[in-house]
Amino acid sequence: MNVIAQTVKKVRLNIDIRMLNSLSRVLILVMLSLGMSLLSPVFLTSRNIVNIITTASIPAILAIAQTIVILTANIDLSIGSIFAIAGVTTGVLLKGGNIPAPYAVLAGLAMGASLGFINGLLVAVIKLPPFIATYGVSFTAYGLASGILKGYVIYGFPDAFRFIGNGKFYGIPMAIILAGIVIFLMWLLLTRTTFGRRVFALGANAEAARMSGIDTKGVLILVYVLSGFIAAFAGVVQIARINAADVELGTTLLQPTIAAVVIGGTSMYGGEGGVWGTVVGALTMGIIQNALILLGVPTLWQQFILGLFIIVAVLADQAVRRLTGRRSN
Amino acid sequence: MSDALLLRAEGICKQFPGVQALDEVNFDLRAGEVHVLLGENGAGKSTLMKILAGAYQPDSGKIFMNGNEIAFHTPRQAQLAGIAIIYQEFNLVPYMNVAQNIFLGRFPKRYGLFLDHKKMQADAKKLLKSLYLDLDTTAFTFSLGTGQQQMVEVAKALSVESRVLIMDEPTASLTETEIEHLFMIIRELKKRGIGVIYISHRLQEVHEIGDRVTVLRDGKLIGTKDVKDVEIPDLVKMMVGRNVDKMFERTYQPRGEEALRVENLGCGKKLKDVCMTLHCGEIVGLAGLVGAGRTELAHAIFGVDPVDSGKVFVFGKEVYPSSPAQMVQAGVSLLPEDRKNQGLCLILPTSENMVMASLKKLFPKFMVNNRKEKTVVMDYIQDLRIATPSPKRIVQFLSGGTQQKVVLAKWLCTEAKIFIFDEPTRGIDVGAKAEIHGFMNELVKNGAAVLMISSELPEVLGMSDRIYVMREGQIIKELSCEEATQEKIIGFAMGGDSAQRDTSPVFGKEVTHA
Amino acid sequence: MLEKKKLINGNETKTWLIAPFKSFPPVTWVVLAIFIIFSVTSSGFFTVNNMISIVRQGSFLWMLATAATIVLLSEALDLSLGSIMTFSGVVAALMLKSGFSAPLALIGGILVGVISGTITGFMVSKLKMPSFIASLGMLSVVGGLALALAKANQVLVTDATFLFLGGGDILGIPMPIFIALAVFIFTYFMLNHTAFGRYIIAIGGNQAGARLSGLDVEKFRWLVFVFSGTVAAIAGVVLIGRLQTADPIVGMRWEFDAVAASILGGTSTKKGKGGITGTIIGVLLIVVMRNGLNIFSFPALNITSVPAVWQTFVVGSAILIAIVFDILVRNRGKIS
Repeated sequence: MNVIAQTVKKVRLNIDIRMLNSLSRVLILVMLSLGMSLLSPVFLTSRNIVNIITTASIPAILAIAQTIVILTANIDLSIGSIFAIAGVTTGVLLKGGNIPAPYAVLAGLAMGASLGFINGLLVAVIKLPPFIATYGVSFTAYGLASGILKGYVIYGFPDAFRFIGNGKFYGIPMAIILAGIVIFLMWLLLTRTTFGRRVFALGANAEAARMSGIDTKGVLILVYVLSGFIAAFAGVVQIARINAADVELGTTLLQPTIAAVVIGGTSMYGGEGGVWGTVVGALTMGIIQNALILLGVPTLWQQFILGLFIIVAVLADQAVRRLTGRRSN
Repeated sequence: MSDALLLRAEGICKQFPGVQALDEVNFDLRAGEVHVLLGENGAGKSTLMKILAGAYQPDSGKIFMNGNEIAFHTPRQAQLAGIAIIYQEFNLVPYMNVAQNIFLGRFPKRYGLFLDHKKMQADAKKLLKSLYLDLDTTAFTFSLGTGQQQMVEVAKALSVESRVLIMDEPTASLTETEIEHLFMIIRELKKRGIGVIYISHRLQEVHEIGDRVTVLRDGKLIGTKDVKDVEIPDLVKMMVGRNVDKMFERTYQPRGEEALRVENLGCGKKLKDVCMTLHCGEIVGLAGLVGAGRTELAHAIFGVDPVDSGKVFVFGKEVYPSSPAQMVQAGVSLLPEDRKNQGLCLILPTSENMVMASLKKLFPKFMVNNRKEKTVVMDYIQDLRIATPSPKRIVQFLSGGTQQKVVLAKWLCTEAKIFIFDEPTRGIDVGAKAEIHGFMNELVKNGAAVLMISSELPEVLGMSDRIYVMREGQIIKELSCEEATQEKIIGFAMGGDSAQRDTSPVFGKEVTHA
Repeated sequence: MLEKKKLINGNETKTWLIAPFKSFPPVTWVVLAIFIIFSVTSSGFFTVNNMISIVRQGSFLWMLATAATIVLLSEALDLSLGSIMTFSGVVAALMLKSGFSAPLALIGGILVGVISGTITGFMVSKLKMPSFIASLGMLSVVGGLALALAKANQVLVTDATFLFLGGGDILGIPMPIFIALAVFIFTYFMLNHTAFGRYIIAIGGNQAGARLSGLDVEKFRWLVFVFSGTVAAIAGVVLIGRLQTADPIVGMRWEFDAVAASILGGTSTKKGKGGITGTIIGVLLIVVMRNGLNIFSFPALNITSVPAVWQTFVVGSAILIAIVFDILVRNRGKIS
């Protein structure tokens, strides 16, 4: 009997807790879907599902950007504004400057990367709390975007460019494809490259990482640059999709990205989680938003509900951590 | 000093995972006496004090205060019973003034709500005056010197009408004048019938301020004596006299080229003008008391903390220790004292921890090759006999000894030539200890250079070719493995007899053991 | 009275009047410089009207910043301040609209802050959530509620009491500043002359030490958030009187300004360092900047105004630069 008990214990311990964590996230998603399918007949239609995934694509890209930062136990509150200003930059260049699309896009991406670089400097070198640093940059970026647009909205981009956001590739909307590419690339970066290893090490234990010879400052700066870059990419795709560049683009997108990351199982304490979790989280957020519409919940209540979700997600996350004896503060 | 017993502890036992911290220890304190508690690092002094102060609970044994049996479950209870403890790390609030720190939680109030600043200041001043102190009670504590902060802590302890005062290494960071002052205060306290338990590593203080002295060793009570009946050599003998029955597997090598040289390294108050060398093929032990600066030296060499002055040479080339990354590149490695917080990323798998320091070396093309990683990791798991069910096991769940092996594997992977081990076998079971010693031996056999910081004297004596003894941030003495004895090391570490630095080199002798 | 208060709390504070001048945060000079620049360049700046406007605008930020400072002193962060301010205003306005009397509406609005702070405090102290995330969540929850309840429209406020509190003045000095002043005095008193205030500093400065001294750290952390929520709510109910509407998005991001003002005023995010008197300078900096930029004109250089759209950018960057500058000056040479 003892042998059996021991074996069971061994097996139980061997199941990677990280796997359990990921599974539980998917479980939430599945349960939500099941629940929704009961509540609304429209939910499980292929049209609705495609709709959910398409709408969730661009926020998913943003959530990936946030994931990388959160993996290092920091946060990036500026991705919404970087999202906006990248779109604005590209839009202005396309429309106002008549600059060829590739260069305009590059400029937008460069803008995102530069702002990310500033974030990185502020947090890693000057050691400003990430909240203050990225919030400040967020304001600055938002202001810059406002200043450039001067209240106008740019619209009407060349068709070739619009294809990025609006077109279909073998029947699949470009937004989904691009999101898929970003997801794949970032997954690759985080799990299969030395840089990814350093990111996880930094998040898991910054001091141990440093004492293992990792250039923690450099990695952190790069992480923010990457986050800015990806957020900018999302912004460019967005303006292609809706054929307009407007300063308010990113303001409502910040909170859902944090929620998506947390729901997806990436720990705010760093070192745990990843891209796939965020995908699950982004899908979950997409379903929630879709549910709110299908159930006729007024848009006005959405921010409130989102806030509730963040809190509930973090609480649940903390509870799970405490139960499995993992690190919590 | 009366014979009235303030405090009596009987048969105290306390066990921590893997180690018996206290084993049937008896201790008592009379009113108006200073009872000095001596022992090496890890002898159990701190554990005993924490039990008396209510921070730990004993596994068995009884404690009596003024004849009544008591049991403390929280530090607060001990405080209320009149036992105050002053830890080495001060518990003062930096941006609050002295008076407020003293009366924190017991502020005098007017009308039950408003702080009576005038009374607080006056009371504080009175309290300090009774301790022969004239501090500016309106000053923020962060602006005070360590000695003054110490005094504030004493005042704070006294403000609660303690009958028992436990002081953990109170003179560790004090100047001579401040120490004199402290002693003056202690003598005053004695007159008031307060009993003081005094933990110190400075043997000369035993006769300066103590009435009785108790020596602990390996968690056991060795003896309690009146201070007038013992001399320092007796005390040292009591502290270290153990049977060296552990075998240390060492095959001594001829000394190779100079691997590491440190010249005049200085870092604030913690390191002063440190000079040392390390050669291939040798294990150099670094002994000294906690706080002597050994870990600080290791951190300075490895680039963890910035240095103010001095130079570091690796294989003859000067390298400025700007960051650990820099030193890893130069071929240096550090297995830190704080294994869990500095040596490992606990929530990551074993394999990731192992390759963490050699990412560039193993995977020069940026992409992690899983197969290669697995091969490398499995090799180390086998070679080092790392007890883990799978290479993906999260290190948090490994035993202490296994964790240390993972750290070792990490550095072996970097193909470093210089290894700094900081307390390599602390908290590790005997079997794993021997294994790690074996690995260290292998390392130097293959031409590496090892610097071993250890507080376990048998380990230092058994493993080292040469021994440096540090005290108060300096290297006080260098001993060869033949001339070194436990008594000598402790003597130098505590400054019992020789207070001067002896820098005569030991190089003359070629070590030719088999 | 002034004499008695001297030397109470050590090197930092003499009296609140003299304090800013004794412990200048580095940015004080920046404030003066900016003030002078604006006065010299823009014609409309250095006028009585504008000064009054600055004072009125600044009162609200001052209240929020005071609350933010207290939270920072306990080594925590309250990001929900702006949303609480908004929401309390919305609730008060809606109560007025539903026929409640002014005093009841006032109480209702302030109660909002109390409740919100209680919830946040609960999450931080009992559930051990990091204050950053807990208050970020509340930011959405409360802000979202404000949005939903006000139905994204502005609710007009016509009640005389409220209009007076927010928009009226005594002897030419705007009412809000009196209220902000009252808040400041109360907070100053609480911080320096009650045990609670000292506990806040103790918890922020050395939590372990505080616990060892027998303090109930959880309880006081909780109360800190109740306090900050209440103050934010007070600001909110006065604000609707000034704006004459309850605008559900007006308070967005004010918490950033509030924390920035605290940091600029010398309060650190760690160790319980700083105080609410320095925050005044921080508030001044931000308010003067915003106001000055608004009416900026430099005839000599042919600039007639700074477009509103650029103001956010300039202020945002300026605040960042000011904080960086501040940190660099304080940590001269300590940044590796």
